[in-house]
Amino acid sequence: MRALSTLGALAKPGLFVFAILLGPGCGQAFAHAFGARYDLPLPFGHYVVGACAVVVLSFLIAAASPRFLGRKSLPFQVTFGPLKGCHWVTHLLRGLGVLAFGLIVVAGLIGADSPTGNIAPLLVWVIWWVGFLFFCAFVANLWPLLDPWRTIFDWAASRQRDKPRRSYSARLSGWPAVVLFFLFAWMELVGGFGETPRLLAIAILCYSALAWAAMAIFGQEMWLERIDPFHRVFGLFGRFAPIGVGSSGRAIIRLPGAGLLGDHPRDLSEVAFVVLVLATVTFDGFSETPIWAGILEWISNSQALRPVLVWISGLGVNLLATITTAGLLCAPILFLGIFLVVSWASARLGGGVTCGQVSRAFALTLLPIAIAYHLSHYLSYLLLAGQMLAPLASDPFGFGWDLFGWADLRIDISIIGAKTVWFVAICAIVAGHVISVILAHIEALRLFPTAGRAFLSQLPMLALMVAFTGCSLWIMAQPVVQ
Amino acid sequence: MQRMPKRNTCWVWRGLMGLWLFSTVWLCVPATSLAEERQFELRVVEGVLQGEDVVRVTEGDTLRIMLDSDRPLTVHLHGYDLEVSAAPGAPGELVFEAEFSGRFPVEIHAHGSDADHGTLAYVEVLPR
Repeated sequence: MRALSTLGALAKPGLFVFAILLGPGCGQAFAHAFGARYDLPLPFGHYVVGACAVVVLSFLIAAASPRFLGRKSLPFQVTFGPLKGCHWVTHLLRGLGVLAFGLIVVAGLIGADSPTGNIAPLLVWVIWWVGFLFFCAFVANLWPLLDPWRTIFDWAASRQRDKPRRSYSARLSGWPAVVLFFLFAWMELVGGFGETPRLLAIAILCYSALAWAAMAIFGQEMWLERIDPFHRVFGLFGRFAPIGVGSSGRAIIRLPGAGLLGDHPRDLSEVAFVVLVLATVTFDGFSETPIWAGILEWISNSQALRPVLVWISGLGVNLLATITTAGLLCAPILFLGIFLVVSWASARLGGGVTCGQVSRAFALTLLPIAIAYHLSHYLSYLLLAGQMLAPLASDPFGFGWDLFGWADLRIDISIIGAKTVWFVAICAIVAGHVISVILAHIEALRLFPTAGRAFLSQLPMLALMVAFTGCSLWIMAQPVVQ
Repeated sequence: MQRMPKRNTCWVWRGLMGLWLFSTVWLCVPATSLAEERQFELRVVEGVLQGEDVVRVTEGDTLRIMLDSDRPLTVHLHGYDLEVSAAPGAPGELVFEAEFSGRFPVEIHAHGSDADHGTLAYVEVLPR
C-alpha cells in the first residue's frame, strides 16, 4: 500500500498545492504538484441535517406537486435584450478565447516543465475546467463564444464551413462525444496531464487537429452536435444557469434548472453522455475516500489477483493508474445500468411509455445534484489554487519574469474556512436535490396523462435521487485520503 | 388526485420556512472553547507510523509535534508549509499555532536514502 500511496501522491492530476511563506525565516516556497484538497470532512451532525432535509423536502414537494407544478411552462421567464446585436462583445470574447488558447499552448511547449511554474496547467485545470464551468452553470454558458477551435476554424475556412465533405454516419450518433469525454476525464483523474505542461500542450494540439479535421470533413454543425464533448458538457451545465437563450433567439432570465426541462436527449448515446458526466463527477470525489484507498489496498494484497497484477506490472504499466482506470470505466457503466433499471420501473409504474422514453425524459433532471456536489467539492480548491493566477500571470513561462510585480505573491489559505465550506456544501446539495425533484415532477406531469400515474412513476426516480444525493453527502463527509 | 386546499399548502410553506430557518441557525451557531497547547508524537518504525495517523486540534491551539524515527526522515506539513527532520536518537520537534482550519497532509520528503513521497499522517484543524 505504501508503494501505491507513493504512486497515488504523484498520479493525481488537477490539484495544486502551493506553499505559504510564513514569517521571515522561511525563504523557500515548497511547491508541490497536486497535493490534497484541504477540506475537512463534513461533520456527522451536518450530514444528518442534510440527509433529513433532503428526505423531508422530497416528500413535501411530492405532496404539493400537482397543485403547483402541473403547468405547461414555469411561471418565471423574462426575455431581455437582443442577442444578435452585440457584435463587439462577441468579437471580444472570441478573441479572448483564441488568445487564452494560444497562451496555453505556447506556455505548455516552451515554458518551465513544472506545474507550479507554468501558467498552462493552472489555466486549463483550475480556471477553465473548474472556474469557467462554474460560471457556465451559475451565470450563463459562454463557451460557444469562447470556443477557440470553433473561432479559428471560422476565421480560416469561412466558406467551407457549410459544405461538409462527408456525411456523418447516423449509426455513430453521439457516441464519439461519449468516448472523447471519457478520455478527457481519464486525463484529468488518472493520466499525468496536469503535472507536465509539455504533455498537456501536446494533448491540446492533438485534439485541435482532430477538431479541425472533423469540422472540415463532417461540417462544424456535426462536430458540435455529435463529436465535441466540450460543447455538449458546457451546454448541459449552461442549461442549469439562470441566463440562457430562448426559443426566439433572444436572451432570457429563468429559474435555475428551468433550462433543463424539455429538449430531451435524442437517443441512448446522449443519455449515456449525461450519465458519464454524473459518474465522473462522483468518481472524482469517491477516489479520494478511505473506502477507495481500502479497495486499492485489498487489490494490491489480494492473492487471487496477484498473477494479473504481476502481468500488468510486467507490461511496464503503472498499476495504480490501471486500477483507477478500471474504476473510472466501471462507474459510468454502473450508473447507466442503475438509471436504466429505475427508468424501466418508472415506465412500468406509470404505464403507457417505454423505458427509453422515460430515460430520455429524466436524464437531465439528475444534473442539479451533480452540479451542487461539484460546487461543494471544488469551491475551496478554486479559491485557493485560483490565487496562483496572479504570480503566474506575472511569470507565465517560469522564466523568472515579473511583468506585473505579482511574482512573489503566495496563496492565502485563510481565504475560506471549514465552516463556510460546510455551510455552502449543505445548502448547495440540498438545493440541488430540491431542484432535481421539482424538475422530475414537472417532467412526469408532462409525460403521463394523469397526476396519479405521474406520482406513481416518480417513486423509483425519487428513490434514485435521494440515493444519489445521499451518496454526494456521504462523499463530502469522508476524510480526504491521498 | 385532489388538489390540496389552500390552507394546507400554507402549512407546507410554513414547514419549509421553519426547516430552513432551523437548519441555518443550527449550522451557523459557533462553538466556544478556549485555545490550548496540544502535544502529539509521531513515531515511525521502518517507515510505518505507529498509532493513529490523524492529529486533531482546534483552530487557535498551539500544536507541538514530536517526530521520532529509526531512520533519517524529513516530513513536510502542507498548508502551513513547515518541515521537520528526525534521525535515530535525534527526534525533531515542530511548534506552531493552528491558525486556519482544514485537513493538511504530512508528506514524507526523504526517508533513509529514498526521496519518498507518501503521506505519513494528517493534521486536522477543526474550526472554533
